[in-house]
Amino acid sequence: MKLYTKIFFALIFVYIVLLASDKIYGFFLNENVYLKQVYIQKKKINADFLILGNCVPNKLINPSILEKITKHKTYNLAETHANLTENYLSFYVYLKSNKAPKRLFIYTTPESFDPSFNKFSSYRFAYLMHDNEVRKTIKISDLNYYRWSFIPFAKYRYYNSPLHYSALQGAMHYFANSKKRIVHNGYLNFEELHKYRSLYPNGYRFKWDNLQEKYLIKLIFLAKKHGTKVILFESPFYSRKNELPNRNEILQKIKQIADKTNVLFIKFDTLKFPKSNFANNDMLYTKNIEKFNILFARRVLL
Amino acid sequence: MDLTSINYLGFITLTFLFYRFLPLNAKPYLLIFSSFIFIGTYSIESLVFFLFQHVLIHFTVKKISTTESASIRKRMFKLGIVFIIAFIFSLKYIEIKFNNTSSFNTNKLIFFLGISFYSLQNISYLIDVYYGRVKRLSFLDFTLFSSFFSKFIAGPITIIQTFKITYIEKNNTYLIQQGINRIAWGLFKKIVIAERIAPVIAFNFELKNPTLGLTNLVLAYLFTIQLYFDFSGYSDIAIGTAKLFGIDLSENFKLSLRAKSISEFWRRWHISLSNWLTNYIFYPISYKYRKKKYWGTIIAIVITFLVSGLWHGVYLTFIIYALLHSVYLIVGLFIQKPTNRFKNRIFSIFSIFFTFNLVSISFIFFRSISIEQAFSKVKCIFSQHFFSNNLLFDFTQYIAMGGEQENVFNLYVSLFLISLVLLFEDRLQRIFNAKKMNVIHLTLILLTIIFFGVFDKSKNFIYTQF
Repeated sequence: MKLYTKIFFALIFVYIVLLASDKIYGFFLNENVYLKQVYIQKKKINADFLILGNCVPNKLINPSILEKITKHKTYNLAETHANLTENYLSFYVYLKSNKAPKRLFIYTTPESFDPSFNKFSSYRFAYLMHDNEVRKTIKISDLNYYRWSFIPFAKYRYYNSPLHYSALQGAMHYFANSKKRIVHNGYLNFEELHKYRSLYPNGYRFKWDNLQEKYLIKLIFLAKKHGTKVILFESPFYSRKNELPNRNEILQKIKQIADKTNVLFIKFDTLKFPKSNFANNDMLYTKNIEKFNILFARRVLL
Repeated sequence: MDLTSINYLGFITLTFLFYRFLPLNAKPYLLIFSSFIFIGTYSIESLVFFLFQHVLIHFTVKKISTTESASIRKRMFKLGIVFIIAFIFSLKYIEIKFNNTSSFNTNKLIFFLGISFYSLQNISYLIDVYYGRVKRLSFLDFTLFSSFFSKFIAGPITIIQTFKITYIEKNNTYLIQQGINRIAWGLFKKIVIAERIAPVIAFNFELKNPTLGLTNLVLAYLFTIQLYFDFSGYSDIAIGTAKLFGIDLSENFKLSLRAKSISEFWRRWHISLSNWLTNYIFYPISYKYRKKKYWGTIIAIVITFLVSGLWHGVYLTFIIYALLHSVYLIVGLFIQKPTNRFKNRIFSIFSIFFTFNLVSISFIFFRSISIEQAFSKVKCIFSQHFFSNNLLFDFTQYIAMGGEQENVFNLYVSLFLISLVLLFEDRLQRIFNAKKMNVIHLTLILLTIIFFGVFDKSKNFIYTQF
């Protein structure tokens, strides 16, 4: 066989392997209920209260405590590093298989609008790319990934580790039906930090990403369309004097968005937890988290 | 244009297609044009600085080779050398001031791409023409030699005598097959091995500072492996690309991590730089101090490595890294070679491991972002904090980057792949250095790259910063 013919058949072979891998990964990822996006689709959550945001509310808002006080089923749909665009898409996916929640709590702080802190993790939606809205949002937020996704299997390989592991986990779940590690209310228990660590260089000025503003408004309107009451909230916060010069200015901007869209913005930084309560600027120590959840529950019942 | 990017693959494919069908006398023009585009895509400043030095050196060499007055020739020669050295150091100094970064930074803004590499080539060209070892090149040939895109960023450092172009006949595909083999092997080394370890190294050298000796030692091992696969991967892609155009570049690495001594290590690691330093620094100094016997050699070793350190950057970390190697070599001079009795397999394995350790410790200085960090890491390795009861915790926190399940899984996969490649490296190298392309091997490596490669975090090659 001539060299060029061999190369041609080799490329065909590679293409078939990629096509098959694409299907296998898609299948196993869809079986991995450790992933929140899969869990909310497979198990009907139908929560009354839904929490959205990044890792801070994911570790901070404990649905078990909230449920005890409010008597409302609560699910924590916050994800590590998720920005507001990702929150929008998560909520969109949630609505596809669950009834709309009564209240939606969206964690909105200056970090939510600053691309240095949160991002859009396209890979979390890799196996949902057949959906038009998912595709459209990914195209806007992560154009490179979107372009690659046309090649079979590339949407599972563009970002290195997470999906290899998740697909394997999905396969194990499928064959062994293990449910040991599933957290049914979406809450993320975390390792206690022992020493306070500031997250920002002194004098850090927050940036403002208009895309996040656009998607926050889109998210609010999507919720309102389904009759859900939206509440924007901020976590307790500690910072040294002049550590973050434009923080209040950004909070003011968030307040303006809340006013414009006619939703409530609760600022918990006014609670003035002392520095000794904080593991970093916006994260409380475990022992103080319970205290905060009780305050949060009482406040949302108002 | 990153050498591992789709853009680069498209760029070389397009250049190659034009090259195949252009008449012979137009081929060098195409390669020069493509090289300028390639450099320009990194930064226009790099192209301007390159052309400035290039034109000046061309006219200096022209003057040296055409004038008959020995004093003018000598003056022009000295002027040329001083100009290149002053040019490289002043621009590097400006770069440090502008970037305001640490000594090791692969993401800094690039204004003087490839300057360390083409400057050395120009120095050797000046020396060789002055001493009559080579004839002056035409402006066209000199431009092609200096700017050829695949070797421009980080070598291999080429001297005129070894830069050969074979204009390939249309039916002869051996060089092309060899080229594709080498590019595939280089991509594998960079994307599958080096890029997988890169986040672990960056995490521990830029964000965290492990305090346990063993963790620091393992990180030093991992960085040595990362640097080896990163730089040798780059060299493979550069050599493979050059082959597509019938250009032979010298080899840069030869199973470097299997060296049994430091002197052998330098015969296997960054060979083009080692050869350059040996020929243009070490030999002349040794010759000058030949009457001082051992002392002459010691002086030559120290100066050669000092130049090597400064060539990497005007930072204390690089100077100490280089001086450490000169100490290794000087000590090696006084250690007797083992008798045949010891020349068995176990001794070889021990020698390889010992050399690997010495090299890894020196690379702590190379990789650290400050001299304080480097010393604290080395101190940690040689202190009582080498082990701890909490070793597993330390490993997961630092080497598995926080110990999240995905990261632990990723680390296992990386370690498995590294072990496999290091174990069978000679066999794999033979396969991918072969003159004939094996489609099955190529398919397997392509699938391995797709399944285990890192695509999202692809950063510059480590040596791009020099």
